[in-house]
Amino acid sequence: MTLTDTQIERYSRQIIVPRVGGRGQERLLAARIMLAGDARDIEAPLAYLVGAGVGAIRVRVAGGQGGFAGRIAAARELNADVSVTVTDEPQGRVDLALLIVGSEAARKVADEIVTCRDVRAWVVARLVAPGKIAVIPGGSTSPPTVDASMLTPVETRTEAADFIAMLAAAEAFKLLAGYAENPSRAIIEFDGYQTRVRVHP
Amino acid sequence: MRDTGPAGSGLMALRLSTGGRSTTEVATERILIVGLGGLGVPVLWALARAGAPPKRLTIVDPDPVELSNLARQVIYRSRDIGAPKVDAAARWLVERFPDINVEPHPIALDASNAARLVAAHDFVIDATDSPAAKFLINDTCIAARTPFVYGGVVGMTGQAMTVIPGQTACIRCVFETPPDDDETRSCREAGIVGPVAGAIGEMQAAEAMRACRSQTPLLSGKILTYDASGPARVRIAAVGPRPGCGCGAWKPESRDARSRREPDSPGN
Repeated sequence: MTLTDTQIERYSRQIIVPRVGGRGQERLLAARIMLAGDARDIEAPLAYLVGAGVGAIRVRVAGGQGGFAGRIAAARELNADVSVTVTDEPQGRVDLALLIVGSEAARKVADEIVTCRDVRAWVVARLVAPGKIAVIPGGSTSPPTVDASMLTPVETRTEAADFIAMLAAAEAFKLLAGYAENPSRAIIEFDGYQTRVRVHP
Repeated sequence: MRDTGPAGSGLMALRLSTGGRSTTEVATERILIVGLGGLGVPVLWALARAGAPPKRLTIVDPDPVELSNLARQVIYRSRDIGAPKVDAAARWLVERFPDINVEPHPIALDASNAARLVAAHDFVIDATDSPAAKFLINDTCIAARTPFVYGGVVGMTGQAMTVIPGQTACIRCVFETPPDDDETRSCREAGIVGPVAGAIGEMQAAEAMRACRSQTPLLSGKILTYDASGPARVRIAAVGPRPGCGCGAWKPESRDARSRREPDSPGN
């Protein structure tokens, strides 16, 4: 895929970020991802991934698509380079699944998706104090294997839920753009004051 | 004449606690957002979708929407290119959140208008991308005793800090003076990634909402740093007032002053 002049201008501010570059932008535009979670939790990450030019995004809204159609239409209008579709089915092959787990309904959807084998990388955000993000570049390992608590029942949401969801979107962006040469599996825990990062070799 | 708010208003409490105006002079939940770029857009969106959004938002930015904004300033559309950002943002806000009262100003905040604009609001959000603007907001808010939240983002890093005038460290306590132009890298030169700016904007909006809800902002007297160049690293560190700074926050007995730390240079 070769970037057009319009695409180079559109994505110029992220293209010039070291280790993103034009190749990173090409990877983003070629990427296919699944985004799942509650409507309130996925709307902003969806907009930012659409804006960044993530090529194909399949959206699964926990609790059903009702009421989210307008947000999908807005996301499509944001960037013609990107395809946004909604689904209630387990996905086909995707480069990355970004799962935002902020409720029991979202957890159940995530629990179903993590059984899929056609996922090359995972980013899972758990919006319960302490907030957690699992970053798993290799699709052969499912998130609960890396941290058994990722998909345990959801109780009280953390006050920093929106912040953590956006951190997870940034981690997804980096994996899709090939930002790190050899990204590690990591669990990022945010206690409201600082993150602790556990890297799994 | 200003609206007057309930006695329990969080912003009122903040103002009064800083030795500010009398209760009859203080309106509730009037928030000024300076800058509607990579930071201002997520701030605006987060405030608008908050469960109890502020009653009035004033947005200030002199720039038009450009194609290169669309990748991260996700409320703008291709059809907005060339239009003032504040007008495009106000249209978006009216369509999505019709109950919010928004006042757009297609101007730059500068020495000629800063005092008037700040005085008309109860909380200020610094979403600018220039050190000079950040110091202007700091100095104006300190003079007006109006709390504000600073934000900065460049490349894969960002910062945020809330200043309660007379009580907590200000931008000059931490950074002293604006850096020279050749010391700073702008987003135009160093790049910016949308979700990184989005995270800092979310945090700034949360600070404003805490103030609206009579809660002490999490980042008052503290600076949040976010480094996304590796696995996300976020740290919130205490920053005490600086002796000799004219902001009035430093007290000889201040425990904050004894524990003062020096963060890195400001993001912009």
